[in-house]
Amino acid sequence: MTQAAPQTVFNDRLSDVVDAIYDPPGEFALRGLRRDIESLKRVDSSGYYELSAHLMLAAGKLDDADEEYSRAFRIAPGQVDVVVRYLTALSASNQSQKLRDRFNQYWETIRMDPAALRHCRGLLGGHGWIETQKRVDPELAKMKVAPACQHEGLEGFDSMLANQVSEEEVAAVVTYCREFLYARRLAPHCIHSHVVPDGFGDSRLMYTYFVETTTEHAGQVEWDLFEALAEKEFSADSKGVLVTAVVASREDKSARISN
Amino acid sequence: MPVSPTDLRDLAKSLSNSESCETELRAAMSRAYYAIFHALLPFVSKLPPSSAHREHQLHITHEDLARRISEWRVESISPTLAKKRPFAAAVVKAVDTSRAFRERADYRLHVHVTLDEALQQIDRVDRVFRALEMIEAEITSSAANCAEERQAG
Repeated sequence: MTQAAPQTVFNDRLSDVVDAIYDPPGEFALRGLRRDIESLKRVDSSGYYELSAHLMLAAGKLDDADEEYSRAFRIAPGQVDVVVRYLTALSASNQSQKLRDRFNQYWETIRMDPAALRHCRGLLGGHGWIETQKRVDPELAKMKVAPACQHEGLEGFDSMLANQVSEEEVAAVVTYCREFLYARRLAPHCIHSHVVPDGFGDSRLMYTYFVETTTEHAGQVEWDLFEALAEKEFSADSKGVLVTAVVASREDKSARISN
Repeated sequence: MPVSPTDLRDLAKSLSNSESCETELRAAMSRAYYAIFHALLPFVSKLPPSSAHREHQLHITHEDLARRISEWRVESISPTLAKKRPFAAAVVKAVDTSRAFRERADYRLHVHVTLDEALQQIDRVDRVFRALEMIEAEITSSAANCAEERQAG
């Protein structure tokens, strides 16, 4: 019997373990996934540790996941694909602060690759890091590459950011919204942010979380989120500069691991 | 009334289907917001002017409408309603979000709007309608209690 090439095994398992981060299965299913990746350990140890890290994230073992990723990086240093998948996994597991820190840490690796820059810009925007995400724009401009489309509406944000709200304030609300949705097993498959005129001469930042469910369910969750946000009294929210929406839509799962 | 908030909501619904072009979806999102605005207007008119109210202002503006609900000075209308501040906060956010979609649909022509967003906007209208029914039921109940107390006294 011929065996699948290591790269094929890695790619086949990658989508399963990424799915597991977004929607953690039970312990039994996780054990099955772990068995499936064991064959990689000898032939592609970097790939093995990477997938293992993903499974640790799916199990909620964040420190263990970091350790596994460190092993993967030691074996295959400076590989932009590995860095991007790591940042994607941090995003999927909702580790907002760590996502920004690691993006800055691996900046020199990311900045050379236009696809990585675009992807990271989207990841950072999806966590409210609207100032940090702008770091990629001059690099993309040098390469004559357009930024990721879902955050294109942010062009008017500079003055508002300076005057009214910091990215930390925005990220605090976005993190809360993401956690709220994750807790209801509605991990957003896409997050759009736009600057919209508020009708009184100012602008507001609008975050829309797209979740795979029915319109009615998304509407109820949005209403519950509104009540929860009002109770939390986040500064960006109280200032009225941030608008939140939840929208039901079908997910294109291939976009989860686009890098 | 020649046109009611329900008519606006129904128009938004009829404009939102899989055959709709983006212009229709934008119109639907805009009408849906106005369905909310006009549905809330009679109730909001009973509330004291908000901090956004300007001197000599003749009409309730979009900002004033949201602020009046946000400030929730309803004690004179219904003491029990006054305890429902978290509920009011959700109504304000629903108004805010539907207005932001309306503004995006009307002013941000380079940003796509989708059928999913239009359908969600219509669901938002229905939720505000239901919230308003609860508010009005609370006001009616408070008025009936007051009348009973007066009779008993």
